Amino acid sequence: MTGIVPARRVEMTDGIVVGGAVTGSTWQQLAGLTNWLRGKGAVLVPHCTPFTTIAAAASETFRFRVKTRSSAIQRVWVVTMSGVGGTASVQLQAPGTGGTVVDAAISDERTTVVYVENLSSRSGAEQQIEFEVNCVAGSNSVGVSRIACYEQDRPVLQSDSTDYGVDLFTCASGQPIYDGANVSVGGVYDALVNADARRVGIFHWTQGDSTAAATASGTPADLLQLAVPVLVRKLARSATTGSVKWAAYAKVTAGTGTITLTHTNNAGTFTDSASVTGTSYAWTSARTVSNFDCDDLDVADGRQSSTWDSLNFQISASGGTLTVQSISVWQDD
Amino acid sequence: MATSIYEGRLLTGRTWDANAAADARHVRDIVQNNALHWADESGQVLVNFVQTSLSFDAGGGGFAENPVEYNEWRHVVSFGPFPVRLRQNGDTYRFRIRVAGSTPNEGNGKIRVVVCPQTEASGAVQLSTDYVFETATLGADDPTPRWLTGASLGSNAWTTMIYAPASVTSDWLTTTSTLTNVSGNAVSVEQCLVSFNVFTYTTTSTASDEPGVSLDGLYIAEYIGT
Repeated sequence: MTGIVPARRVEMTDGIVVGGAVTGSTWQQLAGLTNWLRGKGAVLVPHCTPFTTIAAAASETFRFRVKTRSSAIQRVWVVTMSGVGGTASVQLQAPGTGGTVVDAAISDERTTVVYVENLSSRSGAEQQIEFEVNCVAGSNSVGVSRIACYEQDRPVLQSDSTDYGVDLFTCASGQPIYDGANVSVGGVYDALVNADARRVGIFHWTQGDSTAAATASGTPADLLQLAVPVLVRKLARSATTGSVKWAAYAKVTAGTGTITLTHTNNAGTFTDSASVTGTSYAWTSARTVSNFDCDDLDVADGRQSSTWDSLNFQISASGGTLTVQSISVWQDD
Repeated sequence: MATSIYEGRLLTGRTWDANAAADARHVRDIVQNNALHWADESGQVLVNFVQTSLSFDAGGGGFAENPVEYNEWRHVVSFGPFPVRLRQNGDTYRFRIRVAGSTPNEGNGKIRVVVCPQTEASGAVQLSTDYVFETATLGADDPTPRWLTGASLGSNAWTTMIYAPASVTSDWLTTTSTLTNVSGNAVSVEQCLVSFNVFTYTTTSTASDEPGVSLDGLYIAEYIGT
C-alpha cells in the first residue's frame, strides 16, 4: 500500500456538522491533504547568487546548512553558470564527495543546469548539503551566478513511520473505520501529528572558498548591500512571531571573528552574534533567533504592517582575519 | 486568507483512542483545522538575494544588460524553474514579491518580473496580467541599490503580490520523472514548473560597455494570500 499524493492541494468541500457523523469523503479529503503536505517538496535553498568564478583545474564546493524533511528522496539543484570567454567544461557533483559526477559543457551564455541528487536514505536531520563544480583542466573558466535547491515532489508516499502515507481507499465511504497504521482515520491522525510542511529555506549566502568574504577589521561591516525580507510561517493560533535558525561556515587565521545577524522589524532592531575561533572551516553551532514576524493570515499579503521584516549580517575580526564562505538561515519548526 | 477555522494550530491533550469514536467537533476543530492551517502555511521562499556589499563582492554585482536596443523589454535573468504549489482550482499560491534595483549609468528605466515558464517569458512580459509585476521608474544615474515600489499589471494591481491563474497554469503542467522511494522504481509526478523571469526597460541608450537598469535584489515567496 502507498499513499497517493494529489498534484494539487486538496480542499475540504464537505462541511463537518457537530453532532453528526464525519463522512467518508471528508476523511478521504483529509487523507489526501495530509499526503500532499508531506509529499510536496520544500525549497531548501531559495535562489542565491554566489557570482563565483572557477579557474581551469580548480573546483568549488557551495555549502548550505538546513534541516531537511524526512520525506525527501531526491534533491533538485538548479544552477546557472556561464563560460568565461567561451565554452567551459565542468563536472558537477552533489554531494561533493560520493555524488554522481555529471559532465557538462557550459556556453558563454548563461546556462541553467538541473541536477538531481538521489538520496541514499530519508533524513530529517539538520545537516550540510552541498554542490560541487569542478572546472576541467584546459577549459575556460566558469562563473557560477545562481544556485537553488528543492526537494523533489513525490507522487506516492510509503506506508511507514517515515512517510506516513495514508492509503486513500481505506478512507472511502463504506470502508470500516479503524485505528490502523497508514490506513483509515488512524492513518490520518498519525500523518497529521507527524506532519512536516515547513518553510525550510529562508535565506542563504555563499561565495565558495576562493572568493569568500574576508575581513581583518574590528569594525563591523555589512555583508549585504540591502537587508533581505523575512517572514516566517505562523504556528499557534495567537502567534505573531516565529523563529529561525542560522549558522555560518567560517574560519579565522588567529584571534576571534564575529558574525552578527541584524534583524529589523516594527519593534526595532535586534542582533545575535556567533563567534568564530577555529582556524579551519567549520559551521558555527546553529543559533535560534526569535521575534521574526510570522504571516498574518488576515492580511492579503501576510505582512503584519507595511514594514518588511528584514535581516542583514555584519562581520568583524579581532587579532586575525575572518573568512566567511556561507551563511544559512532556515526554519526547523 | 486562511482556509482554516482558527488560523493557527490547535493543540489537544487528547490522544487517539482506538476504541472511542472520533466526535465531529474534535475532527473539525483539531484534525481539519490543523491540516488546513499547515497547508495554508506550507508556502516556500523561492528567491531571496541581494547584492553583496562591494567590499566583499566576488565580482558579480547585480544583473543587468547593456541597453543598446532601448525602449523595449530585455530579458536579464531567470530564476528557476520551481514546481510551485497549486490550489485545487489550479491557481498558484500568491507570490509575495519585492524587487531592488538601480541605474548605474545615464539610462533610466524600470523592471518587470514575469511568472511563467522561461520559454514563454518574452511574450508574457508584454501582457497586462497579475503574473507580471512592474516597478516604478528609476531615474538616471541612481546607482545605489534600493527596494522599489511597483504593482502587478492585472486587475488586482497588487503592490506586493503576483500569481498565475488556472487559465494559464493548465498549459504549464508537465510530468517529471522521479522515484517511488529511495532506490525505488521510476515514476512520474505532475508539476507546474515556472521561472521568475526578469526584464529591464530603459529609455536611453548607454555606452556600449555600460549596463542600464540593474536588478540588485529579488524576494519571492509563496503565500496562501487572498
